[in-house]
Amino acid sequence: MSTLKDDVAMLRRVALFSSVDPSKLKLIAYTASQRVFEDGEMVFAKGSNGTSAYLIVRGEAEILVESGGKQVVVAVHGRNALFGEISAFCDVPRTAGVRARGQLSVLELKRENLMELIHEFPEVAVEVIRELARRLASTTSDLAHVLDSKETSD
Amino acid sequence: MERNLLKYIWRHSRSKQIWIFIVVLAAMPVYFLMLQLPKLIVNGPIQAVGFETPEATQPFLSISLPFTQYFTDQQIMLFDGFQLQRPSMLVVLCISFLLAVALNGWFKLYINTYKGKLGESLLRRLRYELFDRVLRYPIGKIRQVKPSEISSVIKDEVEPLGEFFGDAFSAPVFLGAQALTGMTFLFLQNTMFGAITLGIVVFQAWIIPRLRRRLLELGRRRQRAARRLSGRIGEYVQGMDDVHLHGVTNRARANIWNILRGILATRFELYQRKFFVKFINNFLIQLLAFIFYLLGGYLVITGRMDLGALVASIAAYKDLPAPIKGIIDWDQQRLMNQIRYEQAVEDFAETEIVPYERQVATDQVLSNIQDGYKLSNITVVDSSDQPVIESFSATLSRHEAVAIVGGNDSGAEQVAEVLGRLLHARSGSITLDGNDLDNIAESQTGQRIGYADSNVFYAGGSIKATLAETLPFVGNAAPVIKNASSGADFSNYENDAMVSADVDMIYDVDDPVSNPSWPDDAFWPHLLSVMRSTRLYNDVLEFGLLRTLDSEGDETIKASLLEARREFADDKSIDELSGAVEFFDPEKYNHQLTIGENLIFGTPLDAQFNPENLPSNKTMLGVLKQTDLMSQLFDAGREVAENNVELFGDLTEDSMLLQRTGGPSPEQIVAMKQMLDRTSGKTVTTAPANDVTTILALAFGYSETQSRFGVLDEALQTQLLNARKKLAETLGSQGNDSVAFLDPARFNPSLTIIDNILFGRIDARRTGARDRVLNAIKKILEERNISETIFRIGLSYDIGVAGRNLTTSQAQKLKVARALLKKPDMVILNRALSALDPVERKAIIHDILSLGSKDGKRQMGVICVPVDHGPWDDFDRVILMEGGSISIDGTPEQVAPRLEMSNA
Repeated sequence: MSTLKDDVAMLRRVALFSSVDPSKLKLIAYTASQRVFEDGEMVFAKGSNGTSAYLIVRGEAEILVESGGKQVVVAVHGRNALFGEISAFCDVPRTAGVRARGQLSVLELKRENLMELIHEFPEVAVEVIRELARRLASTTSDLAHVLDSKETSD
Repeated sequence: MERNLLKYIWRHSRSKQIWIFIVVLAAMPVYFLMLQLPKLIVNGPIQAVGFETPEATQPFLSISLPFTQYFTDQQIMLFDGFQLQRPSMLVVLCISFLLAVALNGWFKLYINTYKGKLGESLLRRLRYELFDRVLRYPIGKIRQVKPSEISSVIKDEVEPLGEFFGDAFSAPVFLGAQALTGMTFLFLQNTMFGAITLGIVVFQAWIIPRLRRRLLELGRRRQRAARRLSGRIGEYVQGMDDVHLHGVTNRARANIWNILRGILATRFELYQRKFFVKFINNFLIQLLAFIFYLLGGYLVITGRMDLGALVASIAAYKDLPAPIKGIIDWDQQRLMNQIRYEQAVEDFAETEIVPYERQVATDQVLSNIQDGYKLSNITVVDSSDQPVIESFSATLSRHEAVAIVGGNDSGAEQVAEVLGRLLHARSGSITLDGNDLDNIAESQTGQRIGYADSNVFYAGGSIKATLAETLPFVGNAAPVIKNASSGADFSNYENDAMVSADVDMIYDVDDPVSNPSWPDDAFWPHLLSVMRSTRLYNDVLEFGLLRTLDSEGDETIKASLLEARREFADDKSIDELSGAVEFFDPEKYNHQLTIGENLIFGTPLDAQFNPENLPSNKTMLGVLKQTDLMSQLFDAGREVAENNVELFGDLTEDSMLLQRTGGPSPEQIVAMKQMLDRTSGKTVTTAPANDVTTILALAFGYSETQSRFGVLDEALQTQLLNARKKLAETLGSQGNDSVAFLDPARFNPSLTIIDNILFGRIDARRTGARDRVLNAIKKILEERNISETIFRIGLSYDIGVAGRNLTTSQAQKLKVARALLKKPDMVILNRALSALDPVERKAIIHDILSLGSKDGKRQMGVICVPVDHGPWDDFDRVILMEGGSISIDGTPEQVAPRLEMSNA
């Protein structure tokens, strides 16, 4: 069983929260719920209307995408990885499914708590924007790479 | 029903009324004697009239033949009496007076009790008759009445009649006789005064009915308003959801207030009129006294009348006002009660009721249905006279399963209602086994035909009682009233009043509802099979699991449950449960519990050991001191407070985050801050006592899994375990059983059954664990054959007022279960189970269809107006209805193409 201190230390390692003030991180950790999923148990299915983001405390999670009527594992996340944050920040259904591989312990961060935190401490919002912008930049450059390689292969 | 109150009373209590009159007459001489004796005592022995010499004697108990002095000059004595001297006379007369008083008292007692009994039993009969009529209202009519108005009439409106029943005849006759005697005496004394008095009385008799007209109208209005009030209150209570949802409590207030104002205005006017009439009456009767004094006095002064005659007249008059006032009061009561009665029975009397034969209880063994229904040219209209079923003809056999398919306006539902006798056909004929359905007793169809739709209403009580309630009634009921004017035979119930009021009137132990040992072993398998096919078994089993066993619960059950507990704990086969449950182990600290719960490690049986009282519990504090835990818990509590202040101290007071986390309130945070300042640098011994209690409360309420402040290290846990042991020892040595300890080897009666088996807490972090644990436990119970026992315990689950403790699907399943439980020959499912999910609903209907079929032959006919469109394979026949008539009727294969079309 992890204490709040452990959770805070873990949150700190997540890029999104890395520069958030420690006392705020503690509050985030406190408002989060610990969840345990058994091997093969679905954390959420693709297309479901979840509003929580999850942080892996222990174990591994498989990211599933449906392809030709089958669930295909496209990625495996490990300790300290954050997933489900897209649905947590904007109102879209889950873009992929997530399943526990072995026993999986996560911290569940609920959207309303994250939003409330941003509302009460705008500096958290700045960090979130910074992190999302960084991701957008990296996705854009990835996309440019893909397009480049596509052109060269054509 | 009789509309005239006096006729009603006379019809149903004639002999009693006559008896009461005879007793009243018999009591008269005693009453007279009681009044007469004091005069004799004073005049005779005390004032010595007739005892002028010490040796003088007077006769006692001399009896003369009455009126003989009018015919002969002297009285004829039958008995000369005993000659007694003055002291003996005093003693004898006083004893006679005492006897007369006692006898008179006894007469009064007897008469009042008798009148009371008469009134109450007649009231019982009237109420029963009214309810009998309610039972016989046609369904269409009963759906239009307001329940609370009906109960208001039967319970409240007729209540005051009870007091009148006893006086209805004896009082006027008795008072009338008194008044007549008074008048006669007056006439004998003085014709003129007699005539004047008669004139005034006649004037009273003329004026009073005129004054009363308005009074009667007001009486009617008062009753209507009171009834409306109870109707409206009933409606508001039933529809309270909408009142709150739309925020219109003030409309309700305005509405009820208006009715109340109306009632007040009516009642006030009523009082004014009533007392005015009384005033007129009193005035007129006292006016006579005025006339007697003035006129009589004048006549005496002028010498036209002698004084003796006037005094005699006034003495004769003295006896008049009381009976005349009595008669007038009685008449007033009679009129008010007549109105009350008329208004009460008006609706009941006007409504056409179903014939006696349809409901009368018979000893006849009910026969099974042989063939089934035959409907020819049935037409049914709705409330606006539009046809909903037109010329419907079909034969529905008890040996087939028929689906009557159609949309909401197809008339399919109405056909089912007609078959269930809930709806009456305007024209056409319906027969069951060749007999007109209207002529068949309700007990016959009620027992042989099961009907379930999706409307649910339950009176409340246990599941068991709800199931038993609709089984055939086998006890003795009071008779159905055959002919209101003849009077059904109630003589059997005459002596009910003699039974002590403390005795519960159990109507029949054979009846399933009141029989504690129902269901018996013979019925049990059938009940189980019905509950399993309606998928209620699991629900009831879960109700059972959530109950506690009575302290005197069966030892074998307790032993089995303990076995189940062990098996569950050892069940390594349920891999996914590993670690999901943290078992209660006296040797281990349980992280799912708070520190306080870990310390007492049991269920508090005494409020002293409730979590909120622990910080001030002397035993607990003593144990903490002995185990050196006080200062540690003090530090732990302070740490909890510090963490809370750190976490929430910066949040604004209206922070949603603060509210949502269920953490402390802003005021509590402020209080914690102040308390931390006060106790800063202090120890448990130097800190203020109040603060110590608050800090200990924080520590006791702390659970590591909930708050994760990291307050609880291994060392503290070990110490807490020591304290737990110490507390158990201390309580044990004191013989104090305030706590039911969690002992893995013992059954804990204060825990629910499921907690006794689980004997631990499910890890709150595992969302899916609860269902898996429940299923694992059910499996163990099934294997150990105790699942039925727990199911039986679950049958006593209270379904709540109107079944509110049940979900809609449970309630609808229960309705189907009731229809099947009586082993009907045919069952009608009219859009039943509409609240269930389609998969479960189809499965249940499939089970019901196969339930009625044995060895390929259908024993129980099924008529189903389905919610779902198919599957039809289970049915022998499908009737498709459109616009109130049949569009196709045949086997599923024949009808299939057409069904596809109608579905598309």
